[in-house]
Amino acid sequence: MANKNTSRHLPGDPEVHHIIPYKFHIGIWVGLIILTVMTVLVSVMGISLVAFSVITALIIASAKAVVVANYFMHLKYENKLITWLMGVTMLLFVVFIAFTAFDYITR
Amino acid sequence: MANFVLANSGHNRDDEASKFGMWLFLFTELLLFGGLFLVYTIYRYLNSEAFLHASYELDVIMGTINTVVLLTSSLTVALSITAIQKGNVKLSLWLITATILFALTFLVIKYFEWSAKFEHGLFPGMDHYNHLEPAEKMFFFLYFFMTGLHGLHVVIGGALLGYIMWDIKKKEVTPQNYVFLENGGLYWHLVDIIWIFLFPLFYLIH
Amino acid sequence: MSEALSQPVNFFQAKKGLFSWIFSTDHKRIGLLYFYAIISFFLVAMALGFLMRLELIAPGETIMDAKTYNQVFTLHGVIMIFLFLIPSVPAFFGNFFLPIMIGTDDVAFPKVNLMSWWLYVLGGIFALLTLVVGDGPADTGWTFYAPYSVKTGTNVTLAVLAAFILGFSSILTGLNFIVTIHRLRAPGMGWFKMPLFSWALYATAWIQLLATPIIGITLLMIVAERVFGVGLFDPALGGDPILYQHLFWIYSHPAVYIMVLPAMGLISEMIPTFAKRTIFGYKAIAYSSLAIAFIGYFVWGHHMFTSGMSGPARVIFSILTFLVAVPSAIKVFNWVATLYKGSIDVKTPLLYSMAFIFQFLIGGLTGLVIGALATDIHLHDTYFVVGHFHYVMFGGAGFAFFGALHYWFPKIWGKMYNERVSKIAFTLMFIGFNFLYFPMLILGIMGMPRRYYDYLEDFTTLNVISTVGSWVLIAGILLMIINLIRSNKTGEVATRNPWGGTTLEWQTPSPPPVHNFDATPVVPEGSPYDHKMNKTG
Repeated sequence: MANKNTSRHLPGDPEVHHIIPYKFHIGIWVGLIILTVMTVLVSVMGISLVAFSVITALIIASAKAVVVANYFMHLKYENKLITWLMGVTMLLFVVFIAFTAFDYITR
Repeated sequence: MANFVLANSGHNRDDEASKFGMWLFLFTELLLFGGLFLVYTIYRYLNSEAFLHASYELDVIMGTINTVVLLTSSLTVALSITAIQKGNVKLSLWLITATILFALTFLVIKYFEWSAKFEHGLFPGMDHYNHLEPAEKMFFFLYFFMTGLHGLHVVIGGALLGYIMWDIKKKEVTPQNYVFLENGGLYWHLVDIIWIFLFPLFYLIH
Repeated sequence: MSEALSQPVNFFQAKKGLFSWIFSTDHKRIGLLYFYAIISFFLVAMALGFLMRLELIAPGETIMDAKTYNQVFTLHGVIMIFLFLIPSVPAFFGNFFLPIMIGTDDVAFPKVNLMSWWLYVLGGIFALLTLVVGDGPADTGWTFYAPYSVKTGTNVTLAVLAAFILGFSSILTGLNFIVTIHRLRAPGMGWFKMPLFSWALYATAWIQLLATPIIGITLLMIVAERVFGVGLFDPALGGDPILYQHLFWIYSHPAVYIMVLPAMGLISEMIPTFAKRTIFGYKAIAYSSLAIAFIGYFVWGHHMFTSGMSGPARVIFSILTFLVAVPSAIKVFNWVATLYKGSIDVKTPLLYSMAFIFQFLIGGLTGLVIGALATDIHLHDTYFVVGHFHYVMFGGAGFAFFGALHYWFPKIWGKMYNERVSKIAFTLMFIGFNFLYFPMLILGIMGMPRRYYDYLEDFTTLNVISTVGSWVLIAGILLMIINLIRSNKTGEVATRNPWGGTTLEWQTPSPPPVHNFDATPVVPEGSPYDHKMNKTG
């Protein structure tokens, strides 16, 4: 009854399992380490404009998160639906923060 | 018994469904931490000076080392999936072992960091903590709460990977059927992503 | 479709024994496990509500003191919200019928489904434990507002942990439904051929999934605050209690849509069946479910108009609140239009649906009254809000639940209920309900504050009417339950399709076999509610 040998396939599913080469993963890792070093330098040495350090740190962190999601987590090779739903989730998170912050900023 | 077959049975193997389910679960994890990031944002906005001052107590070097450790563990678990896809089960097992070792390294470093804070009496209820300004207390409480909850996720993620290794040994997870490892990997990467944000928000306020 | 002479083994007969139930991964059994637990908790909370109304039959202390009253209304709220309303429709009807209605044999993750039931039970045990240990149940109200929830000596920690665990259970149910709907629809069943109940469950599942984590973490913060004595939300220690309210309502406003959206889905099933007519505006109803779920995320601030939020924020939240009324109204118009020129068969489920529309309208319109800034200042802490909330939640979601219980009773238990008794029970419930809650709206406008065990002499008459209403309502509910229990023993055997329904659950025997169907389900070509096809075929 239950089929364990092959997985179901529906329209919209990725055609084949995408195998990411070892070297490519290592390249991604090097990039992530560089971004980490950058964010530490920006903060500790004050290389960037001080007032923007929070924003710089968050932009770098977001870039790292996107890279991890896209390549390490294979998001780029999955059904596009997941990317869209991830977008909705992030949108809601931003709304939660923005609306709440709006209350505090205008108080 | 029924003499017909449902193509869309819920009991068939469906790797896409498993991964989709895992992603949905990760969304909930993101929003779970999201609530804490919301609290952090508001209190940092209200007390930016105090947060800045309090953050000097944190050790940037240890934080950076831990960031690198977690990123590397993310790499090894991603490589382990490539390995099992290519049929190299042995290498895959080694790479998962490496991931778990990195997880332990992270926890050991975290342990030293936390003990240092305990020695300075910075945990809620301790001497030094009680003499801090309210906003600084808030910073340290959020620090302990958020890194603590994250640490708990590291432990769960590590245990999950250990369980997957067991499944690989039992041939439950194979080069033909490795979605469980993929899901374990997804969870592990999430732990990494949370840390990617925790690190600058606590250690790098300057 | 002709009745087979030898019915296949149904899911009740397949296995026997307690363990075959509490460790079952069959979605139908899990649905029923939920049902028995949910209805038990409902009766407990109903009894608490009865006691509260009895206390309020006269001014001053009647049967309990202020603290007990606070504990009783907190427990009533916690049980009704977290243990009855939130799981009621999705976890029972959803579990039982979603896979059948989309033509499959189970949910996507049957084991996770079982786990979510066990979490529900664990959460229920935690909630009940607050009764017997320490200083009794929490006395904060179901909202656990800080800083009081941080300071009171009652069992807030346990109650909050119960809500946390129940939230986890709710998340897993939602997750399961989303994957099930995406992956397991029968061949030929496109998104717009799904029954509207599945659409409602789909929209609800997204709220369960994405809003619940916020309350989870918020409740953990309350626990941490109590255990470590830090001041996250306590103004005396530098915290901001309004931030707690933000976090709480970010979840809890969408959560009221977890309670009412699936109920709307039930109405969309019952009305076409008993009007013998295709539903009017299928797509509008489907999209409005998604719209309610989505817009519902942006209006939480309307619970905080009087708590010190900034002026501009209040204005924005008020405007957005009015937007939610649009998709809700679209649904009501469509239901009414479906009935228009239908050949209406007045059976009990239809009566409940009519009561839903009537009471939901009152609940919805009073909601607009308190969604407006100026009127809310006057009405916010009065009985008007209690009346509004119960009109939506009980008059809406509760009545839809009981209506669907009659609608699907033949399908689940394989017996017909007694129509005459059920109509008497319905009449008692409808009259009792309106006598119980309508006076609250008037009392609120007169200025009677909520959450007190006592009130001024002037309010006595209406309070007496309300209390008497509660007795009639409870009599109706008990009669309904007795009728259903008796019908299950002595009722006529139900055929596959006693109501002439068009959705897939009516193609299978009553009760359904273990794997739901005894032949490959036939997905209708056109609308899932095509009653013309039913007549000729």
